[in-house]
Amino acid sequence: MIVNLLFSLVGALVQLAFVLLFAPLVQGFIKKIKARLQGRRGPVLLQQYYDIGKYLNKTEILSEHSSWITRVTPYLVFGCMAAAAMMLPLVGLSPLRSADDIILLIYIFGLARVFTVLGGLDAGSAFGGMGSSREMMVSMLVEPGLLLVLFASALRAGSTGLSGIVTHLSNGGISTITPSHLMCAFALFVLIIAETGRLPVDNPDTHLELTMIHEGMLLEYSGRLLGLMLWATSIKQLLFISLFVNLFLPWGIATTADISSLLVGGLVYILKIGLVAVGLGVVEMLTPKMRLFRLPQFMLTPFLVAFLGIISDYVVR
Amino acid sequence: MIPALELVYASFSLYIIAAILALVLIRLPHQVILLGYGLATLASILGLAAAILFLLEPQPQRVVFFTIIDFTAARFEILLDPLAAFFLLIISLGGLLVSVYAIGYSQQYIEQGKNVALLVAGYNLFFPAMLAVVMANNGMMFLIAWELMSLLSYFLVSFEHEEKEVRKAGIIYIVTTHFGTAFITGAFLILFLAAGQSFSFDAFRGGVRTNLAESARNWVFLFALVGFGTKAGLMPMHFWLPRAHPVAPSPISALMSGVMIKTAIYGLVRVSFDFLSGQGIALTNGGLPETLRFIPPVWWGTVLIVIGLVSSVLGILYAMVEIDLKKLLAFSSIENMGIISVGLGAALLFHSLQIPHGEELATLSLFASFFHLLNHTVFKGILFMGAGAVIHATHTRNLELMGGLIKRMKWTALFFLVGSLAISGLPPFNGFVSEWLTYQSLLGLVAYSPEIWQKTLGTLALSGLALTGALAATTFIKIFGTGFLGQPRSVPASESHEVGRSMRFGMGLGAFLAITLGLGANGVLALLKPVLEQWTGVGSTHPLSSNLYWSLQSAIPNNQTSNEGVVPFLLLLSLLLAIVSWLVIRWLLGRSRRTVDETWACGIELKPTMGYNSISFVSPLRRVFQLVLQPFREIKVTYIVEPYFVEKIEYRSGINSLLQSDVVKLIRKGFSVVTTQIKTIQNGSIRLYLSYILITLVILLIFAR
Repeated sequence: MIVNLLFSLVGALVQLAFVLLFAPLVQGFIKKIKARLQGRRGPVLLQQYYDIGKYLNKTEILSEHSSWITRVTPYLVFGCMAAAAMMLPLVGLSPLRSADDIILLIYIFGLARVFTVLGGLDAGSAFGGMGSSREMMVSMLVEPGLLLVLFASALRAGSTGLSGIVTHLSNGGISTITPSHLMCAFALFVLIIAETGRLPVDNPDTHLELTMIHEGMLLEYSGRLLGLMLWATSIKQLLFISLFVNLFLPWGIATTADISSLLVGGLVYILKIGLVAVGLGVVEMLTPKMRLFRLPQFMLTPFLVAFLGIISDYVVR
Repeated sequence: MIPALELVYASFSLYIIAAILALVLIRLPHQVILLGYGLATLASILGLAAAILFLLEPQPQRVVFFTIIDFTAARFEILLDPLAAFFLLIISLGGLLVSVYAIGYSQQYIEQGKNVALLVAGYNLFFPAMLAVVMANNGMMFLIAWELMSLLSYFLVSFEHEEKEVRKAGIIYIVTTHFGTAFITGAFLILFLAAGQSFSFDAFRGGVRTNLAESARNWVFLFALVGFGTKAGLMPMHFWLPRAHPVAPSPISALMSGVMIKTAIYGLVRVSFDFLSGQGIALTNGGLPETLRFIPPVWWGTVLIVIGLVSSVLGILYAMVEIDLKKLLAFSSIENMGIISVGLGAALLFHSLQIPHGEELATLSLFASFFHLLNHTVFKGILFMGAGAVIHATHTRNLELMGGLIKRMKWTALFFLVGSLAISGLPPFNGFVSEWLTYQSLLGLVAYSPEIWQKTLGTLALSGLALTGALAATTFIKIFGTGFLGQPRSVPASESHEVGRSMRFGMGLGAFLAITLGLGANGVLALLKPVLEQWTGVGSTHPLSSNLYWSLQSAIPNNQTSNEGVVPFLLLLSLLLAIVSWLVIRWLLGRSRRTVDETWACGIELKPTMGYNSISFVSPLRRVFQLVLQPFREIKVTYIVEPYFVEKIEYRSGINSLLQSDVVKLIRKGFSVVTTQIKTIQNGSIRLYLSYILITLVILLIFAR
């Protein structure tokens, strides 16, 4: 019992370290792909690391109107992301197997979101409020669809535990690919675009009034606090991409803890992440930013597809 | 006699003594407040102890309280069974939280020169009335207690009767609640006939099983649904709630929203699970043979789920766009009652479906429902108390006039934040656990129910709940973000101050409970186990009964992973990791250098009006849901010289509340049409009235011949 607990704790810490180090690279990679597709050279692959490192060492300038919320939020958001990073199955099954519950996962992201939004409101500026208000609108559009997609997988696997779902899917072979699987995969891909604040929902590279959602909330952060928020954002992005690949392309994931399968799992994982990152870059290149009030219709699509995905599992049989 | 019942008696008498003392000492308001609420606190601690003692070792107890006439219809009996004990727990818990708080809160009424003794007396009588409702074992006694509870709450609502709004809300409340009582009485009368003309609940149970036709059962269910649904504030019978709850003094609002409306859920469970479907372990003389168990029709559960969903989504939508702090919380109560009835409906549906694992799933749904009931008492208590503290400090309920309170009311802000996170269902607070349980039971509905429409209903309910969760988070971020953060938007807000110790204690205790119930959900299960077993007959062999919490993945078939144990620790993980990351970064990079400066506003001075207020915060969502909310906006410009010199610009915006206006208007119109017709026979002429009497007399003579 104790040995098991210790073992999973060590596994979780290793996984956490891996995510912390790997996440900025994925961010840089997507940026690079996008730049290349647009015929630019783009920033170097490691730019995100330089940025985070620079911010972590700078002086913080805080607004006189802000309260402890601003000072606590970056650490809390970072903590939530770290907790999520320990829960998810990435290269292998989740190290914290007894708690890898999908609902818990989504609500931990929710906790991080609540604090980010409060942080946007804390300084009392119009820009922060604008970002916060829009973020809540997007979250309201995303959340039902996101939960439905995850519930569809959970229902098929008969468990709301992520490891259980992933094992079920990767053992299923070709029979895993059902209409429901494909529909939910599509829905989740669209939802990831919204959830990670990418085009056409949000533009991560600017903070203009017209586009800003996520960046708007970060305007009053600086120095170490900003560095942490940036880092947390890239971790969130990596976690969502991982969720996608492990739920919908689960093949190759290490289901046992021996060296060889972990190695294969690791390679396959990085390959899959790369593929999705390219996909996100292509989508960013092809689509312009959408008007804010076009989003409800846009986000209705993944929701309905996910809904039909659940139902289709029972109709198509 | 077991100690639990003695404690209940003691608690009962303490409340009544406190009320009497308050009236006796009417001239000494300070002493009345201290004594009255102090005794109420003591009484609720006793009640809490009684409930916990009883639930940990339940033995059904019945006591003939007193007998007015020696006639079966009017024998007043107190019954303490697990269900009643659970509601005793809820009521006492609410009492404990609010009583301490009320000591500080009521001081302001002394300054205003109001008669505090009446408030204290009414407050203290309110509890025995509610306790009598949930522990009555006789229909007549139940109705009397119910009426007493309604009347007392009416008086408490109209405590600040100088204001017109308060009087109006009081009238609407008293009328609506009697409308509901009429339906409950109707349901009880049918049961009375079935029970061989007895109002005893035992006779109800027996009578229903032996001689009540299915159609009659349906009527009883419908009547109970309308009657209790009105009290619970389920849509479309909710319209009184957002008017009455806000105008009452804050401790009373907390009690009405956190505790009183739950007695309606008690009634609904008692009637539909106990009397009608006989799911309960027979507490009556002689057990209930399996063959006499009635399987409720499928539509009962379905109707409850649908009503619950509508209430939760619309309730939170209206809450979201509201700017009156207490009205907002009242709308959010409608939402929470909706979630609770979704759980109840699912439990009924599982009983009806007769499927494998049906009993377990019903247990799970009931657990979710009851857990949420308990949670709602805690966090709605915190929030109403917090609202009261804010109003105490700023003298307004209008969110637009607040802002920046976190600087001046540090503790209130912290507790309010905890309440907001809990009610939004975020980990590691208690709301998350019950929300999670509800999701699991609905997943069970989708997975196990035999027909496609039931699966679709389950999926709809899942997405509705997810939507509700997201909207609830938006709503409470809105309150906290625009009320407590940013710059103060009015003079009173900038001059606000922290409230006194007793008020902080009430809120703090609630916040502590919110996190304890979240992490210690296994303890709640232990308390609720007898209640759940009472309705489902699932014994101790069932997996749900041992380590339900977090092994609930067994709610869905082919469970492959088992989750034991460590989760409460993991719920705390994100908070722990936040602290760890702070420590690590500080250790690696040293203390952060920090300067404080103005908020950047593009080079000009930042004004409070430039920040987001509560209307602008939800404005995008208002537009997304315009079909339901029907927002309107009017700008009226008056000119001195058109079009150059503007005298003033009037701006009005709001929402057309669909159910609140149109439905009520329609009913009112119907009433006035009918009454104008009836008015013609009452034209004021004495001669006409005499002729009525004469005609009646003649008719009577003919019939009595």
